Amino acid sequence: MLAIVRAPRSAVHIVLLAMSIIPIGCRTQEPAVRQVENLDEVLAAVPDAAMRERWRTAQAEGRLPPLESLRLPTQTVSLRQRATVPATDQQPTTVRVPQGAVADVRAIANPPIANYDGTVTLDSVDQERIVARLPDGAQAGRVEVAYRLPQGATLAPPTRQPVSLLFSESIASGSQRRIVGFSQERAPLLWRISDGDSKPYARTFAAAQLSVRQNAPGSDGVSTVTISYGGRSITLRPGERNRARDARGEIEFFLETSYYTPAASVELAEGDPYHVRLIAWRVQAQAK
Amino acid sequence: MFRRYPRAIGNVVGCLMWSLTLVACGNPNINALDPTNGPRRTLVRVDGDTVFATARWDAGTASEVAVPGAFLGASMFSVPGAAGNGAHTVQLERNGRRGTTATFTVTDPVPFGAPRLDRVSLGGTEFQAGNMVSSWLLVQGANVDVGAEVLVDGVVVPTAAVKALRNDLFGVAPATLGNPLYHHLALIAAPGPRAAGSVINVTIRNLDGMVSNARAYTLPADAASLDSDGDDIPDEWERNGFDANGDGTIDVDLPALGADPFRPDMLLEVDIMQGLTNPPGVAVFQAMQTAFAAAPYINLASSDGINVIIDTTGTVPFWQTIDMTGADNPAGGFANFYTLKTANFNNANRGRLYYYCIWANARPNGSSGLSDPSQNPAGTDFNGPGDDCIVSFDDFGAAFQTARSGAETLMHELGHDFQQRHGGATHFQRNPTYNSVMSYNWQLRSGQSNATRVARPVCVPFYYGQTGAVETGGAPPAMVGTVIDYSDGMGATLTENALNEPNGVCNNVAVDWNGNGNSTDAAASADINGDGDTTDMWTDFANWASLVFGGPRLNGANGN
Repeated sequence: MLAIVRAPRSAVHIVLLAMSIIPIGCRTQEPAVRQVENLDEVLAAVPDAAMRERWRTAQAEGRLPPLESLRLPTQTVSLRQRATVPATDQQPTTVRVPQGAVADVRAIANPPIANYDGTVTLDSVDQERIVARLPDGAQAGRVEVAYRLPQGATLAPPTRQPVSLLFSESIASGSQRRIVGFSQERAPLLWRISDGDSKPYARTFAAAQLSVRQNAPGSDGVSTVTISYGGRSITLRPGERNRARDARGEIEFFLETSYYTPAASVELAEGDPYHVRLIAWRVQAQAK
Repeated sequence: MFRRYPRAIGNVVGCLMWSLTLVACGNPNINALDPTNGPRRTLVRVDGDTVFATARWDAGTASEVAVPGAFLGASMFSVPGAAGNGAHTVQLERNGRRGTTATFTVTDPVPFGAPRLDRVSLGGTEFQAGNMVSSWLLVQGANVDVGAEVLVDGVVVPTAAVKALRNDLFGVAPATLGNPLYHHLALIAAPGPRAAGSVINVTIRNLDGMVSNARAYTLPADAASLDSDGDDIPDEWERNGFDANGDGTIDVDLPALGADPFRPDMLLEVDIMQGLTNPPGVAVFQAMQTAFAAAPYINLASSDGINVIIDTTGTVPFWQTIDMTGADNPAGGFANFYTLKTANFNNANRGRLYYYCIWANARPNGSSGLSDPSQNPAGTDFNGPGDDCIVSFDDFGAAFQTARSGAETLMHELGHDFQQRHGGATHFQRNPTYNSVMSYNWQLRSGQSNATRVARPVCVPFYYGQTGAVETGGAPPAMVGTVIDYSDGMGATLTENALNEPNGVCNNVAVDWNGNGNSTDAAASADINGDGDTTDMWTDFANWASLVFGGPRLNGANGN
């Protein structure tokens, strides 16, 4: 039961044939791909008589596609090797706001923490970065915050009063929920939420006397957010800013986005179906 | 018209060497069996002079039988289902001549269900007169015996095994899985001439008589639309290039990009937003490509898996947030994805072929990504595959700024484009038994806290790709990589009101389902999806066998 040696079709093939004859012994190296020459090759390892008969009948009746159209591998069995990514990534050790950001607050805690709610010591404050030191204890460490306020707005410097930090960071429903809230005297100093829920967002932050409530989209499809602070309510559309006055000056609010999923689409949502991204900061008093 | 494919010179040499070699060969010897022991139905690779040979089981004894092998010879066989425990002799025979023997030791049986038919593609096609077509079917399934039969419209057709992929269970006890898969096997089948464009119904019958699920397969209608590998890219384009506007100029040189008519290809453009603080590195894309290349897709004479052809050279301007719905809002730093796609993607030339993703800063809802099937206006289920995606976790915490999270998220979003859901059969995002990067229990897992990992159990050896891996108190094993993969559908069924805590999700890694502080309850109840009851049942889902190609043809669910 020998395969037919095809006649070389070109001079190149003749050369190749000559080269191929030289190393022949009993085969140790198989070619990468085989083409089938005749039915006997197919049936060599088909011991089942009925199946052999099916093949022969199909060939006799011309019901087989051309055998030579089959190109077969010689490595017939292999092990599936899954892709793995090593656990040796270099993770960032600092944080910054991207150059093109309209307004943003990013934070990195060292050592990492998921939640903190208490007083901090501010090691440094400037118009791009705040470094806060957590008190000694179980969560002792540093929180470094990079921030940018919209359109060049500036942050009022903190007073000598104690500063509190509400910090939380988690991934829920595939969304990052991060709250970085510096406050003094129960008022926001720099307050950022990128926070969501499985229902329209509504949350009160007692440490800053602040509440945030997401509104259903109006006829224009835009979801607004109502912020209550110091007895005054402000409703913002995404991209809008506004201020609220208190005894020490003014707090400005900037609504970056308000994500509100129609009820019928909640099941398909990728990430939080309801999410608000908002920044509040104490406005630097104008020089008189 | 028979479409004869050009031969590579190497193939010619190979055929000649192989043919001539046989003249000089004598007794068909076995060098080794791989593996040398295992339960009944184990798929065994024979290393030796297998060409044109038949394997004899229990050779030289009264119970000797010939066992089915593969196309062209006994390069593989399945351990007979009736074999008893203990040592068995295997020998090859060719033309009455026998070679050396080898021993296979049969061990205790393991669960082995019906074969699962995963994929039908074509190995070669001839269009005939009278609008008829005759094709070699490549019928692939899991736990298919060497020697299994293919049935087309209920009738057994000429069948032979051709190529197998063994599966690695990473030491997980098969009995703790719902559907342990030991191997995938591809069969060649010849259904005979059929009406071009007609639909056939395909099943596989194993040697024990168990029949697989059925798959409908539409035979090619004509040479122009012939798509042998089922990637929704016609063979003609993969062979000669894609002329988008029919002007005679090739716009996408698919052969030069490495496209292959017999291996599914996915073309992907990822434009990376300028100014990101954590832009993706090469390792992200390599991992994703490797994951697709490792797909349990058996291709006849090509490499297995799916070939991802990726272009990451493009960029888009920085926007703070982007999304697939909503009007551009520069004051809020928001841009619509399609504004950016229109400006940065050559839809005229690439739209029919390419998936398009933007690696962005953030989405308005803080999620790590999005794809267009999730934008189905009907809101009840995906209404087709997609072709667009966003990856958006630049502002996530440092623990997530890793190649693992990047590759997981990109593959997750592309999975949606292939019409895969968060929960497998459902959209539930945290199905514990769904061993897939589509699940939120898998995607981004490595960056989560220990407490979160404890609350979101997975089959840990599968996630880390390591035998015996555990997360002690939620802590990942030290210096162990993570697997980037879709599910193959092996997970156990979890019934909310009958959870066995010591059994866990798999491999008897205990889980405290009811949160009572121990994981010893043999009959615990838990509301896994938080819907207020404990009546749900959670199953795994075979993503790979369910990928729906064709998003670029549809221009995604949104028609963009």
